[in-house]
Amino acid sequence: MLDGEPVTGPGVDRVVVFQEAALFPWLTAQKNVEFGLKMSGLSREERSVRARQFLKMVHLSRFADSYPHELSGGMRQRVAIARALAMDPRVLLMDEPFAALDAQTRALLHEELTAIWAETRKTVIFVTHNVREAVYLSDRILVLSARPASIKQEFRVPAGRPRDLTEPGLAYIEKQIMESLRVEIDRVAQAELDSDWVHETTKLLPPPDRNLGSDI
Amino acid sequence: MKRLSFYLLLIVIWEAIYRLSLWPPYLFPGPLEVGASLVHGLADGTLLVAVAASFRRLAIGYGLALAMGLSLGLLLARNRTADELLGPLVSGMQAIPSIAWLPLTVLWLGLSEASIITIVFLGAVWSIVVNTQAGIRNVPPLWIRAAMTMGASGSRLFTAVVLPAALPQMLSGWRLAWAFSWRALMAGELLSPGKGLGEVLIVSRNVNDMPAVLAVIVIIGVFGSLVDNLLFKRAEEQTRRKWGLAPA
Repeated sequence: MLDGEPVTGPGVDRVVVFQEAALFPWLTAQKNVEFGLKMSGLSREERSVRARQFLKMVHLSRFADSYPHELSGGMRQRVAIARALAMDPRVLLMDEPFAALDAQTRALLHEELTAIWAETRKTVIFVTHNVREAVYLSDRILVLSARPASIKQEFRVPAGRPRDLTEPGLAYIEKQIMESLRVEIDRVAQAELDSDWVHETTKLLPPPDRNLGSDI
Repeated sequence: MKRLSFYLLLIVIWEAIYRLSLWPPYLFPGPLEVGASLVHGLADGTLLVAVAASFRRLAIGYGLALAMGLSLGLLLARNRTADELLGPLVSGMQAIPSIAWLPLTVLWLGLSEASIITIVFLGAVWSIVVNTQAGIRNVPPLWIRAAMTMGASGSRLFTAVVLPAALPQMLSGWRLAWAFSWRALMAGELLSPGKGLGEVLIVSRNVNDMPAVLAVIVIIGVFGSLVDNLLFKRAEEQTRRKWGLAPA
């Protein structure tokens, strides 16, 4: 449901950012951002100005004329975000957009996304398997059950930004979500793995060097 | 430079073998004679007329094949029933060397311009069809989904996303078709009277003018690879570079 209308298919008021940036390799970054604007019939100048504005927002002005293969994974994802935002959608849908990025780039883009959100105040629906990511970014977290997916539980994150995940309150929420997910993880594993599989709780393991105090 | 001296060396070896007189000169002419024949043919216009006639046939046959191949490829890519019915036929036709049609086209169209153009067309059209269809089929669904979320649909989706995405493979199809049509043209011209390169070749053989035969062969090779290198290879490499498929 979006503004009282049920959502049945793709539409320009709800643009998706995919896991792989899904940029068109035959277009430059600038032209990629312009793509959606062209489809909605904006004039050439308007398109160009708008695309440049949003490339600037994701700090890629210098790479406007680069082709996607010349950009790093993080830069490509930035272009994809700019491309989605340029459409000025009511809702921004993000489907595991940072899952394929390395941890450092991801952390950087988390801050970036928070800043963009603060600036544009768009509603963002963000799908992720990464609980930390969810706790760091969201105001409201919906935990989905394994197939068939339904909303299993809802969490609210009443913390200000920027967030520090080592804060006890946030760490507590993260732990609760993990527990809520544990059942689902087991269900999936039981469906996929051999029938003799059981979720083993961690036992006390000896230290890897088998040092029993001989160095005292 | 390295390449140039290599080819010079080849010509020198050729001349050396010629000087050994292992075969009579009317069977194995030297490079100087072939060069002289080439210059002579170009000077009196025979070869130029032949090149023009051959290129005209190629242009018409290949042009028709392009138009027809693109539309048929499109149809097969978009329409499941068409693909099921015509797909096997197209791959079957692709396996037939187009010169095999010559007896039929000669009966239907006579030993005429039209008959050779038909052979050229049949040589080129199938690989254009197959690669157009495959190119469109192989467009990643993710790009289409992404374009659809940005409001592209119908013919705009097709021209803005599907066609550019399919272009690299379509280009290889065109290039392949060029090579096929060039071969088909030569075969057709060898077997019919007229004023193309193939016909000059057969006439030269009939009057035992081996240098002229070789001169025509040189021209065929040079023109075929010129078009391939200047047009198709360049276009293909440019797309590959743009897409990041080749080292920049």
